[in-house]
Amino acid sequence: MPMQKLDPVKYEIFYNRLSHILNEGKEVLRYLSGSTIAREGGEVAQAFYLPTGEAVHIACGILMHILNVTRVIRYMRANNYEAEDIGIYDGDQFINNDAYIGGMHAPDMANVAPIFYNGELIGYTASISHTTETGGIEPGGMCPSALEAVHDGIHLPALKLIERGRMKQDVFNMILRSVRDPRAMELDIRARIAANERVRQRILELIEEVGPEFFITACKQLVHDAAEQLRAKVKMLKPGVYKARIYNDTVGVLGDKLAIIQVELGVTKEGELHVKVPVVSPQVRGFNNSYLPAVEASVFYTLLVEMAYDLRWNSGISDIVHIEVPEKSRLNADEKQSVGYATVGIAQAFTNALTEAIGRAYFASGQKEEVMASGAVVCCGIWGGIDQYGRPCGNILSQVWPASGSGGRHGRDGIDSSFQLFNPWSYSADTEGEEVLMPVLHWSAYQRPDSGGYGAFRGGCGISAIDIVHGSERIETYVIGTGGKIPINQGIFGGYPGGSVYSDRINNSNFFELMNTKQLPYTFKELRKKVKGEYVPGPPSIPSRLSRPGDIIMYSSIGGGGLGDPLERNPQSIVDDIKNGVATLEISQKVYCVALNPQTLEINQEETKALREAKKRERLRQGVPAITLLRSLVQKRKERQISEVAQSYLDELTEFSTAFKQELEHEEKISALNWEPIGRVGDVEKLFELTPYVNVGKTVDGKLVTYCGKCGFIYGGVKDNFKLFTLVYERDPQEVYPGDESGDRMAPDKDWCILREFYCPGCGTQIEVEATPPGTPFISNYSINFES
Amino acid sequence: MIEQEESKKEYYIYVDTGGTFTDCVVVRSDGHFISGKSATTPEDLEKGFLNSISATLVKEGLSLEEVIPNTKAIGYGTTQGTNIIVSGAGGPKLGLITTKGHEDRTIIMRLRAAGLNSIDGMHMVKADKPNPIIPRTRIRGVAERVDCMGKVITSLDEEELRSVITELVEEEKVKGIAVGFIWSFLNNAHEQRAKEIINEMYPGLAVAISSEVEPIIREYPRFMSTEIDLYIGQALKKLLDNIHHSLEEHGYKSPLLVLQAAGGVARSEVVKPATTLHSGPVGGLAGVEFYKGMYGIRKGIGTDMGGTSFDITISTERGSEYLREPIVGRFQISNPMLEIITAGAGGGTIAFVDKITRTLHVGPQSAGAVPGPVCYDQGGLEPTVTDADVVLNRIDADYFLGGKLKLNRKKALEAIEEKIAKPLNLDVYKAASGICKIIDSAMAGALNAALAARGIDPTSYTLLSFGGAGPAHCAGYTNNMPFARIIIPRSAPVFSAFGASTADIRHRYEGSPFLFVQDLPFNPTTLQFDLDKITLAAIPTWALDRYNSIVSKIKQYAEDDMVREGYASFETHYEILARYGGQLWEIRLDVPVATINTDADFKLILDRFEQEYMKVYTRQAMVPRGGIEIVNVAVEAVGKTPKVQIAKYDFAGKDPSGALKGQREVYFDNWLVTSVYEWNKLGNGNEILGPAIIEAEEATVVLTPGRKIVVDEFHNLNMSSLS
Repeated sequence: MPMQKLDPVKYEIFYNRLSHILNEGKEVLRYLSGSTIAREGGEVAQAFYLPTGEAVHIACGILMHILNVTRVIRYMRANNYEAEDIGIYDGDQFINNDAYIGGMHAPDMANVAPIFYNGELIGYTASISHTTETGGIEPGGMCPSALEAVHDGIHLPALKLIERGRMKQDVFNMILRSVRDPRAMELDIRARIAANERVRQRILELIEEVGPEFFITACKQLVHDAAEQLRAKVKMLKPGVYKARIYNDTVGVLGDKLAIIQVELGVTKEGELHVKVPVVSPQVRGFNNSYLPAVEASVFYTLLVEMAYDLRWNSGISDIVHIEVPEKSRLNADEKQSVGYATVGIAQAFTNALTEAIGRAYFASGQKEEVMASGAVVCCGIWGGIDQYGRPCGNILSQVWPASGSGGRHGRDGIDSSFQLFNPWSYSADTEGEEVLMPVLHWSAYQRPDSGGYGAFRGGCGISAIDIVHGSERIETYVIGTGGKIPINQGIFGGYPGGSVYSDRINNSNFFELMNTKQLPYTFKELRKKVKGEYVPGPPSIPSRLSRPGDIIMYSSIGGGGLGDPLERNPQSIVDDIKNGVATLEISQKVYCVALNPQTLEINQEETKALREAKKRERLRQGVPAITLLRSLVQKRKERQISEVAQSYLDELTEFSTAFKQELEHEEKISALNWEPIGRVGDVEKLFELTPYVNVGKTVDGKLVTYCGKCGFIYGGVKDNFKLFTLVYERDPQEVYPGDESGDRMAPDKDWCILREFYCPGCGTQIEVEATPPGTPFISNYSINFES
Repeated sequence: MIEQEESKKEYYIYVDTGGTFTDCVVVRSDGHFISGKSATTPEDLEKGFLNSISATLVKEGLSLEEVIPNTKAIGYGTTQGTNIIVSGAGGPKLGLITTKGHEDRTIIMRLRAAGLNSIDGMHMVKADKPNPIIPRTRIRGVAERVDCMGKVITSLDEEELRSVITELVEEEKVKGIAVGFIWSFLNNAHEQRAKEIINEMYPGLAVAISSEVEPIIREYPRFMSTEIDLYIGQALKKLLDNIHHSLEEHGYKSPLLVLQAAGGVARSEVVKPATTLHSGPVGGLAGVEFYKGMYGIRKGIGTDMGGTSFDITISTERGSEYLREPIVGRFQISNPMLEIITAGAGGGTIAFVDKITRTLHVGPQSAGAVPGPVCYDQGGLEPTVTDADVVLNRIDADYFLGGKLKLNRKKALEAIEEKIAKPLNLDVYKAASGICKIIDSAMAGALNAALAARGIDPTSYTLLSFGGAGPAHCAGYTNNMPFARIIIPRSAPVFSAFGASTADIRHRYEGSPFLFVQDLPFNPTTLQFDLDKITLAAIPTWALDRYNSIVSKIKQYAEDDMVREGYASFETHYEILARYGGQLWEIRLDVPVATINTDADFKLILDRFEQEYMKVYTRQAMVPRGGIEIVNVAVEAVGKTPKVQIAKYDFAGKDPSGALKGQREVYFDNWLVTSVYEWNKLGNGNEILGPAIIEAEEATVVLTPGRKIVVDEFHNLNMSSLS
């Protein structure tokens, strides 16, 4: 829709003013808030919306929640809030934390204030922040014990809190009565009210200055601009469908359970994006579901960070995006399901699959510098009870989760120990900053060696941390995290996923007795060896426990996926990693095949070359033709020769998902065909690089084929999944990741996850790796119209 | 005005070493000033220092020998430290010893995106960590631990300490060791012991311990400040010694004063290296403080528009705000730094048309000094704000820097025509005027937001406009803003340097006592504490003892510094950062007492807190239910330095025609015949109505239609609106 012509000068001035107004509101909110995550995680946002709900501009620390209020405003319209029984009046403020209406989970609260000019509704402003305690089944708002929505705590479905400038004290009292920490709730609500009020005044001043007509037109123009700017960027991508899968294990108190998310990113030549999740597990009794608004919000922030970072930041970005997710699935659960961990659990897992799909689209389109493998999700400690001074307390500890790793990047390793996709300004809290507020001793926090997924460019590492209860007899503690049994990210282009999450504890330990001995433990391994007490191995996301001084919580953040064949990693980078404590000698030999002097770390280049050649020969020996493996896969599924956990997920999924059922049928069908690679038959004219190892080209007889960019080996026709022409080996993750003797636990459980490695039959290069439950069909990552 | 007799002439000199040029301003005690610059000499900064003074003096036929012996104070500002940090090169090889378990703290970092702008921060795939100042390979942990109450829970393992010191020195060949232990600001016994042992094992090896560099809570910024103190410290000390020595050889008898980011100056022998980082813009603030005294005004705002940035400094009745989380390069540090609000807007800011939306944008990218605006004719191709000023005839292309740099107006016109006007289908002058309006509105927006976020009412503030581009855009960025008064100082182009030459000696220390008091009685209607019912007994004894001991200690540090500066008497101010219990951000307020010893002391603090909070956030946001928490305290000692006495001029009547240089057509939405005045010839009381241009050698003042200027007794320009 072409917009009406605005004076370009006045328009830009208007944009500057709006941006400053919202930033001012955001700062008021941040200064007055009471939750540590608002300060330490910067989890606050302020935005302005059109009367129809589109976000016009945002000021944010965290990116997740902006689009959620669009849903809230649309809900108010759809439910006829303007009518007299509720009414929308000048000076009103509504409060919403109902994620089903528009949100991620119960702790995310939005105050929405209509703005009237001369009696006419001209838009809404919203202040959004995270209030940790919501009165759920456990303290802290993300309750692993939750089995249904009511366990998540109080739900406030776009409730009127202030009418014509006056607080509805009865409603306010009800909210405060429903949570464990009314003081924090009051602080946060008052902060949001103050921020909205500040923005309302400023917006009215702005309208006075530019006139209501210009104001409305310019707001609409901003949304229009964002859409057109992003459309132009999308048009620079090769049209087609880019696919990625991610798996997840965590559901909460009922134990772990496998789930799948398959994302298909469609890029059209008109510059539109279609984000589909055709294959996804059904909703579950547990806290790791998500409602559709959380998926929309997650798509939005992923695009903001990965594509729209330099554009106008508003709803226009989502105008060119079309999302489809099956109902009653883990990503589109009904309103009765708990979604406590949605935000940074299943919904963030989804963004990992989307990130991989975007990375594949970027690479195939020649924009290699934008490629990043998928990264971490949040694993964090939540503590609530009475602090060391005898005051009530309740907080998400924020030293570990922000210190996660990004995926490996084209030409560069991932970013170590400081990455969360949803918050570019996340902040790993100081030990002293948290110890002064909470009864915790942050005993140690080290970058976690080998936790970044192995690859030519490895994933960024996470950290491993030891927290001790100190100074309080009445504190409940738990860790929420995911990815203990199957990785939460994937490597890309032959890289491996990052190591599994770790979360163990030792209750009633003798830790403080060791204080002035030479026996002090600082790592998981030393701790497990030297400390006496009740040892409780993971997984994370089990219910909270009333803890005592000396109770020990050992946990990790997560590293990102690797990019490229690990055998191509520069040996000097490995030596640097060892020196910096982010890699071990064991992995450098076992996975990277580098010959090092263990004392001096001197590289023996020749021996390294020989080791790597030998490794490639081993791959060529171990790998079986894809078609052989495919046939055995089909056979195993028929005979139900698959681990129990994987079988039950396959059964559940086959029943729930027609798309998945069709995939199985398709795989069975193609397994009956003959898939012989073309092999070496003369020169191929290179058209473009699909991946660092797979090129698309034209043979002398004009046939479009995929072939190895390293050795020229031709796989087959472009329309077929090139994986079908490779050699495949399904590896037990224990062979790759550090074992129990390292004191850490980084290998996925082989009943839950195998590493399906794809090798070029010509040169033995590892061109792709799928971390996948046994028995799961291959994924074809590309569906591009190559003829165009 | 009567010229001073030659024999009574006294001078104040300020030198600022930048990356490219060393700037100098020489101020005579009556306020007359000369400014100049010379090339920075990176291999021998001391040489550039003296060169810049000579180059300045020669303009009025003076020499070092005549002036230096009669100079009362020489101030120095240097970006040397900042450059070392930003470029990541030039510092010595250092080691860090820290609490075991925390060796990765400075490597993990706290905020990876620190120091990145919003777009670069959002573009995470490229938002890497910076290279560490001390790499992981030279960081060692030793067993020791103190908890949040200051209690030792693990004693220092001296044997292990000795072994890691040996390792760092003998194997890693470090030239200095930083020591940072957790909670050392509450209990520094382990850090002190580590320092003793290092001194004993390797006498002369540089050591810095975090509890001495900045004894304040949060270990990441404290450790970074400690690393940086050593990293830039040795070179800086040597430079300062050399400069001071050669000044003495030229007959200088006073101390060399070094500008600090926390405000004020310190003697070169006493200054802490890390405090010199980012000290440049602080000079402007010192100038604002000086003007407050000179005019007898209480509250001032400085706006400094240079080539690349627009810096805002706010000076309230009690002085200025300190940054909550200062950043140097890409590192958060803990040294107190005055808050300078910076927006990417200056003369060199680039204008462009968005290819997709066909909208006009200005900044934040800048053409910098090289290649600079198109009209400089040094290879710049992108149209900038200065190009627009020249196209609109607001800046005279033949009288830039008094005619020393001839500007190429034709090229500027072509660039704006080609890159802005044509794509937008606009007349080239409308396009150029649009560039000015957008940059002015961006600065006005930044100014508004800065005021609003701090609850500042502009009607009670005087705004000072300075910097190379400030006078030309002052009318634009202050349009419709109700400041009490707007002043463009005669020294506008060198105002920051001028200001620095007026700064007092200051030493500031902060501490983190974390005093909290729960369950204080309050009135539910007024939401204020019920002071009649409150006594000291409400504070836990240990918390009160800790508070008083920390305050006494930092007070002692500040007083010791002043004694080392040679001051027997000086002023001391106390501040606290406090909040309601449960909140996460504090407000800063002056308090009349250091330690809390009586009920009355405590009530004074509570009362001050409530008054201040109400002013900033309104009564509706008060939450006395949470009690009060005092998170940080600060003590600042101030010793006055001798000051310039700016001469006053006699009233010369309203008529400015004696200063009229001529007329030219200038574009203000239309071409208007505009009078051009020579600033140096204007007299006290002269009144000029816009449109008008007022020119001096290094400044052009643009007076838009509807505004008025009155020249005051100091020959500064006072701008107001006609309506």
